[in-house]
Order: sequence, then C-alpha cells, then structure tokens
Amino acid sequence: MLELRNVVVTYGYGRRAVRAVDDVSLAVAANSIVGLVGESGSGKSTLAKAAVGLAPLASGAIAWKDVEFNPATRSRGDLISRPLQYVFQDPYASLNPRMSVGASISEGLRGPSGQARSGRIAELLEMVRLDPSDVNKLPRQLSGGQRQRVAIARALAADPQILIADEITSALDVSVQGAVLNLLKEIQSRTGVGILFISHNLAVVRYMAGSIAVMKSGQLVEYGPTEAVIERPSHPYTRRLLEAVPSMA
Amino acid sequence: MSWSRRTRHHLSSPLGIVTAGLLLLLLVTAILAPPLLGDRADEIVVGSLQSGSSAEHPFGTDALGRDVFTRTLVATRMSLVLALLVVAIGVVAGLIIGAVPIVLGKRAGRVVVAGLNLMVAFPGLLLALFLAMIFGVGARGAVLSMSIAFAPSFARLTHTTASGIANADYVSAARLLGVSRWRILTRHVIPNISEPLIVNMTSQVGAALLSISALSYLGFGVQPPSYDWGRMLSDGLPAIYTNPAAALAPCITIVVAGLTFVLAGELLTQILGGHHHGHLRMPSRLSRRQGPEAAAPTRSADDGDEVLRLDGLTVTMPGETTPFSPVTDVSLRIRPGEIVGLVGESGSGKSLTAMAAARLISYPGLAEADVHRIKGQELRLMRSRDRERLLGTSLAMVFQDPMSSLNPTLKVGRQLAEVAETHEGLGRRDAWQRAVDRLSAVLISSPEVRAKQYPMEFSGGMRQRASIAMGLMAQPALIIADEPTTALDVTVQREVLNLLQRISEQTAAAVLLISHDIAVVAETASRVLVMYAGRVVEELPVSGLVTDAAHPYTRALVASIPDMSTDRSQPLASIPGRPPHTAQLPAGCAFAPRCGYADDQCLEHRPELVDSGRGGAVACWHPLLPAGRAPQGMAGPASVPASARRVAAEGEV
Repeated sequence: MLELRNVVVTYGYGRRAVRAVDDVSLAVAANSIVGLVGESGSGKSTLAKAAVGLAPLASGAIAWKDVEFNPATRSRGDLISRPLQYVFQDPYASLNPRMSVGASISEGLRGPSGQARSGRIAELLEMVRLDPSDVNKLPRQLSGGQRQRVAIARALAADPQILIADEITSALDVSVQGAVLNLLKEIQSRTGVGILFISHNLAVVRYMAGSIAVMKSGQLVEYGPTEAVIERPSHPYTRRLLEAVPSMA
Repeated sequence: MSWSRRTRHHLSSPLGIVTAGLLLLLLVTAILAPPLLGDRADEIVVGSLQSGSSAEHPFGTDALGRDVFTRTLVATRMSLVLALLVVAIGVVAGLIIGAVPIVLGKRAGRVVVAGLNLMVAFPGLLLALFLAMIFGVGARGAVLSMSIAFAPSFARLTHTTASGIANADYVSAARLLGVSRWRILTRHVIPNISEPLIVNMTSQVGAALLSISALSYLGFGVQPPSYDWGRMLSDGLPAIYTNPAAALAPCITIVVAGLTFVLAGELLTQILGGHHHGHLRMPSRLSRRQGPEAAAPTRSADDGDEVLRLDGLTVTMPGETTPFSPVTDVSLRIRPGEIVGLVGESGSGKSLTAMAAARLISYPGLAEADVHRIKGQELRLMRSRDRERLLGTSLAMVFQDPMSSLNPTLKVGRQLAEVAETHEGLGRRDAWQRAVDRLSAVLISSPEVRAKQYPMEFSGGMRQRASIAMGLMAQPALIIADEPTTALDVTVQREVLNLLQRISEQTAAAVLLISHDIAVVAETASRVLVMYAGRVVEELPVSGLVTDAAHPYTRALVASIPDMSTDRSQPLASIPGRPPHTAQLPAGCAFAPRCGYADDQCLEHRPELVDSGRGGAVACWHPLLPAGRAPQGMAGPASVPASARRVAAEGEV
C-alpha cells in the first residue's frame, strides 16, 4: 500500500510561497483504482509527482508498506523506487525520440538478458496490445495511442505494485481514448497492480475508479467510493464539478 | 521523409550545391596541395622579390620571391587542421564541463555552472592571448589557448540544451525505473543534444579559423618556416602598397573558408532539423475550379441571409514532395443567431477551415473557395482594403489560448478600446467606455476596475471572456471560436459556452464553434458538421447526434465518449486504427480502413456528401438508419453490432 501522509508541496520562497498541495493524505492499495479529479492548478499532478520524488516535499511523508521514505533523495536501485511507476500525460514527451520501442521498455527491465530479455519485451508489447514486431520502431513512427501503450509497457517492465496514471488520455484523440482506458483496466485486473488514476474528466474517472478523491486549490475536499461521490456528493465543489460535465443527451 | 532522402533533397538546393562544392574544394586542396605544390611553394626566386601579380605569379611573390598563390594553397592544410583541432579540443572540453552539473546533481552542479558563467563572460580572444603567453608562441600554444577560449561557449551550449533534456518526461521516467545518472547522460541526454552541438561546432570551425589566423598574424601562432594563412597575411601586409595581392590572397581564403563552414552549419541545421524553407514545391494556382453552380450545394439554393457562406473550400499546403490538401471541398453556411459546431479529431482540418473562413491562411498555405461570402459580400471580388474593413468589423475570432489575442503589456481596457479606435475611429474616452461596457457584457464583475488591469491579473476563464469581449467591440456578425474552452476547466468551460450562447441570442451573431469535444458542441450548437481527413463527412442537427447520425464515424465518435451514465462493467467503445494523414489519403472513403461496415465499394470509391434525408447530409455508401436498424442497401456485415467488432479490433490502436 502506498500512503501519502499529510503531504505539503510549496513553490516559491518566503511570503510569496504557494502551497500547491496543502496537507493531503491519500492511500492507494494494491488491486484497486483510486481516481483523483480536480481542475488544472488543483495540485493533483503535483501530489502524484511528490509521491515519486518528482516534486519536493515541504512536509509530510510518503510511506510504502508502512515504511516512510523521502522519495526525492532515494538513490538508484533503492527497493522503494521501482515498485512505484508513473505514466505521463504526453506520450510525445515521455518517450526518448531516439530510442526504439524495445530500448525504452528494456530500460525498465532488471535481470533477464539476451533471449530472455527480448522474450520479456515481446510479452510486454503483447500485454499492451502492440505488435511485437514494432520493437525496433522509433516513437515518431507510432501514433499517440501507440506511444502511450509503449509508455505503459515501460512502466510495467519494472513490475510495479502501484502505477500512477497522470492524465494519460488527455493528449489523445477521443476515438483512441477508450482503447487505452480499457487496456489499463484490463492490466489492473490481470496483474493486481494498484492504480492512482488522475484526470480532470469526471466521467472518465467514474468509469475507471472504485473510489474517487476530489482536489481543489491544493486540498482534498472529498473522498469516498465512486457511487457515493457521484450520487451523494458532500462538498459543494464536487456538486459543481458534477453539474459541469457536458453530456450528449 | 527519411534522413537520406532529406539529405539528398537539401544537397540539391542552391545552398547545398554551393556548400558541398566549397567544402570539396577545401578538402581537395588541403590533401593534395602540400605534396604536389610544397616544393614549389618553398622555391626562392631571387630575381623577383615582392613582385606584383603577373601571368606566372597571379598574386605576386613574397619578400623571398616565393609564389604567393602556391603558398596560399599549401597553407590550406595547416590552417584547416589547426582550426579543426581547436574546435575538437574545445568541444570535448565543453561537453565534459557542460555535462558535469547533470551528473553531479543539483548542489555541486550549481558551483560548476557559476564558474562557467564567469568564463563565458570573459572575452575569448583576450583569454586566448593571455594563454598564448603562458603556453609560449607556436602552433601548439595557439591551438591550446584557442581551444580553452572556445570551450566555455560549448560548455554553456551543452549545459543549456542538456538541462532542457534533463527535465524531459522521458528522463524522469528513466529515473523512476532506476536508470543510473551516467546511463541517463549517455543514452538520453547526449544523443538528444548532439544535433545543436554538431551544427554549432560546424559553424564554429569558421570562427576558429579566423581566431587562429589572428593569433598567427599577431605572431603568437605558427612560426616560420611553417606558415598558415594568418602568417602569410602578416608577411604580406608590410608590402601592401607595393603588392596588395600578397596580403589579399590569404584574406580571400580565410573569408571563403570561414563562409563555407558557416554555410555548412546552416545546411546541417536544415538537414537535421528537417526545416523546409522555401525550397519545397509550392502549389501553383490550382487548375481552374468549377464555378459555384457546378459545385452542387447539398441543400436548397441560396437563401441569401447567411452571415457566412463558404462553398468548395480547399486548403493546400506544400508537402515534402508534392502539395497536399488538409481541407478539401468544405461547404459551410451559417445564419444569423445560429451556432454551428465543427468537430473532428486532430488533423481533421477543422481549425484550418476556421482559419480559412477568416482568411487567416498565410503563405505557404493556399485557401481557395468557389464562394466565400460574409454578410452577402463576396470576399474574393473585393479590394483588399474593403475586405479588411469588412473582416475587421464583422468578424471576431476566439482562440484556444486567450493570451494569443491579448497583449500582456497593455491594460485590458486599453486593448479593447484600441479595436474601436482603429476600426470605427471612436475617440479615446468613448472607446474606453465601450470597452468597460463590453467587459460587463461578458459578465466580468466590476468592469471599471478590471479594465485597468493587465491580462496576467486575470484568471484563465476571465481572459477568455476578455478576448470574447474584444471580439464584441465591433458588433460582429460572425464569431469564430476555435477550441475556446479546451484550455479551461470544466466549471469555467460551462460559463464560457453559456456566454457564447447568450451573445448569439442577444446580438444575433452567428457562431462557428470548433471543438474536438463533441459533447461541448452538442451542448452549445444547433447544427454540427463532422470532419474527417479534411472533408465534411456528415452534417446534422444536434438533436439527432446520438440517435440519428448516419455516418459510422459520427456514431463511433459519439459512442467513444464516456459520460456519467456509461456502463462501468463494459469496455469503452473506441475506433480501431488511426486517421490517415491528408497527404496520403486512400482512394476510397478515408474512414473505410477503420470502419466496420466498409466493403469493396468503400475502399475504391469515395462517397460524395449527399442529403441524408434527416435534415442534414452524409458522405457514406452505407449510411446507418436511426437507432439500431440495419443500414440501407446492406445486409451482411451490419448484422454484427458495430461496437462488438470495434472492441475485437481494438488492439490496433
């Protein structure tokens, strides 16, 4: 279980410091999908980045299996680092443009070499429904949806126990969004990985997550099982968010 | 375009031919001149000391009677080798110094960067002269001191480009995977900074050549009996009045060689960066297009009162080899007070259509239409001044990023007032008054105060409203809103959409609303045009979007958007494959390769946009019937529900 305990992230110094994340506690257990919604600037991405050390903790702690650690100073090879993996919003920026699909995925692998390694890469490609023959392609030869699949495969290569998915479909066209979300859900049920699913789209979070956390201005304003949050929102902001969701009907 | 093709392409440009020719000339001279002409260059002819140019000595002879032309050719090797050495040593040193901060991490890195900043601030040539004194005169000292002088600027470039890469998401991802700093540097950072470094290095060879020549000229560099161009210049200069050619020859070669490397740098930038300046095949005026009568508008003839009428709009762009059309044969009519939505995925041509409607397609793009009328006036037949006035007063544009239409250094009220001053010649005070009035019209509270603020003091939603207010300054008949809410939060999105609706109702302005989000359009517009691969594939009333859509693409697009009632136990619908690039369109229907209903006819022949019989038009051979019935003229494939096949084929996405 990944626990974020009273996390505070501030940007800037002294009187002009802004609390991007203000005393937020949240837990993600294995075999679950926790949704995190909020608008831009609400601090949801910052919170997730703080969990893996990509944003500095001003106070609070991150705990993995009840052991607290400071993600920013962990050294490489640390046992804590690899169980937590992150899939970024923009698959055009999260893959090295000069590295082939196979090389990118290979970075996440530890141990197997030679045949076993390429076998594992092919396995991962199949898991994200990419053709194993794509292994030598460069990111620019792939579509946005395919790139995001490679990014997911790379994260899975590290055998993560918690996966943070940060707006992973917002850079994709709607027609491929569904396929990527289906894939993530399927991988979750197959591997038992815990997922922190971040999105500004409440309809998408509702579809994906078993429980929903709502952030506003750096604070966690609501948290509960998906049905409860959607049907009986307790915070006025959650109600406003729900009303604002555009509908086709 | 592949790298080798791009290389060939650029090498055949005038710049490429000249550069390659000059480089070849330098190379051949540097290799062949010393063995072939070395003896002759050292041959002392006592009879003709410092003679002027003659048939035998085109650039005359020097103080010892040696042929200047021959010596200049022979000196090429020495000059080039020294310049290349300077750059090579400088680059290696610069790479190491510039990359050290990345490997060291934040704190230690800061010290290195501070030292680097100091060194960059120190004049290079002065540093080189100082070092030349320490290393002693001679070629070796000159090369060492010059490379040390060059290193800081390379280090700075390395560091700046590398820090950009070090913050990239893929580097973060690698760190989370436990990849070591050293591997991050060698596998992620260096390969991705090599392009700017190589380009810079090439141009710097020219600069190094000049600097080394300067050192030799000053007597710090190459010492006799060796000679390079700088040395020859210093030998020839004292006799400049008797034989100017002796000093001129090395001058010319220094300039030509320097220029060659600068050009080579420019050429490399183009090859590596894939820039296409002006050298690609441009669309010439397209063949005479059909007249408006032949264009066969899909609906009843002219009803005359349209605010915007576009028939047969085609936008052409220069491609890598041949021009292509990202927008083809799009027709569009909007009446006063009507909101028309234009939806499509990225690359569908929806934004280009909007830009073309506002005549904002600029070189190298080319927009052509059979009819392009605003308020009944044919833009193509107007003088450019009249056309600009018409567009300026009757058209408002709202962009995704409001900051693209707001000047950050001007107060919001001032910017708005300027519109009325320019287009309607209003006085300062009246214009300001109207600006305040328009800000309140877009529901900005205390507009008098807000008008005196700068755009940065506004929130995102307020900025978008201010940019709409700017459009309202001239009472527009048409508002073109291109993804106006994409950068905004959902709660703010609703406010801005409501505002557009209110304005359209109150002022009878027509609105063209472009969005990738079909739900946004469904909530705001009354009629929708769906674009795919540069063409309108369906036009229909919003009320029929969910149940009446005839085109499988429209249906699939609607189905792929999860909403608050989506069944969570079922997989989401999605469309397999991806849209084709408009430069490589298939022969038949562009959607056919992704369509569950496609047959041979679809793959071979492109369906025209025809009346769908449901208050719209559709371009499909097998239009779907409302709500679940089998499509017209089709039995087989339609019996399998589209969603089932979509899910089955999903892996391809």
